Amino acid sequence: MENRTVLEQYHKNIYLKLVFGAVVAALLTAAILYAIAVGSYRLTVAEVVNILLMRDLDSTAHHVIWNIRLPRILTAIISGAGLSIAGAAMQSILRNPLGSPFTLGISSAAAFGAAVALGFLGAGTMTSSAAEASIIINNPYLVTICAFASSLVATAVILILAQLKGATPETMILTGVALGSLFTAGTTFIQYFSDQVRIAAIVFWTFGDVGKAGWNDLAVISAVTFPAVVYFIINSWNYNTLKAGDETAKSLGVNVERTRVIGMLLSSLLTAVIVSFIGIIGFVGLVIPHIVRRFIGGNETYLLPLSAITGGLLLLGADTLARTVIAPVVLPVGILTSFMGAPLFIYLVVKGRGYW
Amino acid sequence: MIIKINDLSFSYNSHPVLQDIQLEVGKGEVLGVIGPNGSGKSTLLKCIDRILKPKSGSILLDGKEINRFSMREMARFIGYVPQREESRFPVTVFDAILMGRKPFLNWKPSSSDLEKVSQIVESLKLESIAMREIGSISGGERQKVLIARAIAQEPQVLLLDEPTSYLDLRHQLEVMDLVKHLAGEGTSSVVAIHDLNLASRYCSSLVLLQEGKVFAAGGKEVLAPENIEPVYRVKIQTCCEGKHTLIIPDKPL
Repeated sequence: MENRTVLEQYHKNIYLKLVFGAVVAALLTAAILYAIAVGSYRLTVAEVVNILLMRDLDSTAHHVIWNIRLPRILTAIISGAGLSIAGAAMQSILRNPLGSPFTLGISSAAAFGAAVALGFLGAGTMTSSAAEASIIINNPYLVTICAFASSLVATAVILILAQLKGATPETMILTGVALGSLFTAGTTFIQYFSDQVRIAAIVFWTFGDVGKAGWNDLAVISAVTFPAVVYFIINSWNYNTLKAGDETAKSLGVNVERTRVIGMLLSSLLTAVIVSFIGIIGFVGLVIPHIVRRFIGGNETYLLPLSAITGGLLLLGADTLARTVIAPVVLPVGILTSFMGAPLFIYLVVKGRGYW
Repeated sequence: MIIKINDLSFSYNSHPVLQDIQLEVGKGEVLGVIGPNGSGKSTLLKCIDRILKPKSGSILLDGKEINRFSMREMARFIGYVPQREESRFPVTVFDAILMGRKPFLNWKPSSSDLEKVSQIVESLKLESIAMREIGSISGGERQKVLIARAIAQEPQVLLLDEPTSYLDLRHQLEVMDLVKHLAGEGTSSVVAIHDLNLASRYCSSLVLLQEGKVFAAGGKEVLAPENIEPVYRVKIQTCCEGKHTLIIPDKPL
């Protein structure tokens, strides 16, 4: 019977993690419905339900929901989930609380790629009408492909150095930080030699905005995110042992180098795909895993999927706020996440972290 | 022989750390590895667990060359207890011990894995701290957790790297009693240890390393002043107190 009590404690602990997951999932569902209804074209919940059930095919409301709001909402959720799980995986793989797509230079590399496309390859132009000037990126796929290729270069450099000098967390983080500033320098260089229109286009692109993505983009992002989430969850016990140190992990039969290299490759790829389509969204990948860890502890089997759901919720919430806070102006969500993320992170550093 | 080491040499870059080590460990034996700092004790343990790759020589486990083991097989054969372990992220005591089932699980622990771990938690009297973070427990408890993890691997051999260095007197005795108890159940141990009195009391055989070479090996006679004094460069006195031989360091030579 003694035996029971330890197991009972363990199961109770798991149960609490699942409760946390259920709460986040419920909030996410509510947030989706709210986000569909709210905006410059207001809808009632009844209308929303009708349209989602395909009962009303011709109205403006149908167009607004299926062509504008749903792709935007789903892009926010999937991107938030992808960036968060990538951040959570990087933190464990590199045994470093500062691991995130941002700190490892992958986002900066994507921005550089976009800057090359917009500054040199002429992918963006500006149109001015009497009332307002707006920037049009007339070849979005060229920008996406360049951003993606550039983040792959960053990933490749990190991994090649890891192969040459040993796949230690220190090698990877230091290389990532160095690459980040190199790519930022490259972007600044391009901006210096660009005209106003191109500078504007580059700056505009770097504001992460989930409204950029349509259904096709969303399909690509999802096609990478879902398998990555499954892979990370399957490997969660490898990451659990990695946190205990390379020697311990090896003694427990884990192929440390391979686990680390594949995990980094996958989380970098995931980040690269998301950032290429929607631009830079700061802090989500860094902050979300820390928030979730505060609630449910460090067990990766739960931390990884719950970081994904929580990240989806947070980015959707932030985007909905960004759409409505100073309506009719729609803020790019990337600006808002940086605003919210920085104080949140400082709060966690000062108050919340019992663990590093 | 459960472990048989022939002519083992290892070097960091070109600096030799171990040279021509010969060793044997029998079933249920507790081998104490002693020697001053930098004499190669930890390196020897890491070579046996294939964490480090030796330059030359062979290590046989139960008659089989270690390079022929898969990583999983190694992890089921040998439990390695590091000197200390730092995690920057929260890990509960239970989960830390559950890591010992990693060589047996695919992606998720089974109910029998959980059952085994809870039995180990109980037998080491860790129930009251099972759900606490390992960062919040004492050094003695943490050492027990690391040993508990190795026990969860159900290994034939335990490698312990200075398991008593950070412990108070009571925990030192508890940990070494545990090692002795496991030896009685057939689990051999190789213990790198600084405390010669604990070594004398708990180890069934001893090997004394000096600058990566075996200076002396055998039973308690290894602890005689003619071995200890030149290797540690310390004048010692020994005396017998009941059934234990006590080693009292006197002054540096």
